[in-house]
Amino acid sequence: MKFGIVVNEGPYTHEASDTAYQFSKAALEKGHEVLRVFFYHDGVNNGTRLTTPPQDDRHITNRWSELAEQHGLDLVVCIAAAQRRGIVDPDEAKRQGKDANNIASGFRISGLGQLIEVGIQADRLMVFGD
Amino acid sequence: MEEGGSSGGVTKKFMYINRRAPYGTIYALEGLEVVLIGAAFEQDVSMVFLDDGVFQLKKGQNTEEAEMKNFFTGLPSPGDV
Amino acid sequence: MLHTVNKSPYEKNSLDTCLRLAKQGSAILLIEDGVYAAMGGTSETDKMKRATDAHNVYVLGPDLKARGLDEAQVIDGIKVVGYDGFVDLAVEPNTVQSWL
Repeated sequence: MKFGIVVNEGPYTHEASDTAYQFSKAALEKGHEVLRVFFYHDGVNNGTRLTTPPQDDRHITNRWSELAEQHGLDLVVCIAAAQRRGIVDPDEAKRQGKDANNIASGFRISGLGQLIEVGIQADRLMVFGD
Repeated sequence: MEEGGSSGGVTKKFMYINRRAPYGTIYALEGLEVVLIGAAFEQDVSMVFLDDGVFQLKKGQNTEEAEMKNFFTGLPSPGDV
Repeated sequence: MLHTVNKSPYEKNSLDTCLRLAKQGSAILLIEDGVYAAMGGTSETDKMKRATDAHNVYVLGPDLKARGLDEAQVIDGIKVVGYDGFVDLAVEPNTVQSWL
């Protein structure tokens, strides 16, 4: 079965990103497909590589990056939500004249159309948020 | 192209459930952005306003003094709410 | 249809709205702070017992454990599942609704 995953909250403040991660991992372990993980609202904050939690805590951003690397997941950060919240990839940094970018490994920034598209292509769209 | 998703000729039913009041949080505004982008995909779309979501439909919203974006202008008015 | 509820019933009305609108025989999974609704001996217990008559109600075990809630105190008729069970519950019906 093909899943689409939506993460609407940032890491650490809310459990949504944790639950989405555990669900995705369990789905992949069961042999299902995760077509895309779409990060929206404050969920875009999952995608900054500047995240530095205390060493005894889980690293939510790295955990997503690693899952993406292992399973070829498509981690998409919404461009409109990302621009509001200062999540920037090299292309966006250039386009907007910013002095740096902060997108984490395995994440990419793209449009809301990517959310609609996965909603159409997936068998189930799972929304995790507040 | 960012919004260049293909629907592959599939039409699905999308129901957007709005349960949040406007302005206190961004969910109503960014939720509306999804609906507007989604319109281009020619899907079977409906919006439902439940619980505090009905406050999104209140007429006479004026965000000038609060200096926030009045995002609900330009949508069909539900009438005298 | 699978409904998920992630809010404590003592803070938000997500669970009430879900119960009001869910068709009879739905699957309802309590996750995150929603798991507090699964506990027996509370002001929510009677309502949840009625919910188990109309629906298949589940609670996410890892979220119970994280909060120090005892599985033995979970209302009879509410089944405890793990993340793998969550996936199975999402696969079974055609649609999923998250009551946030």
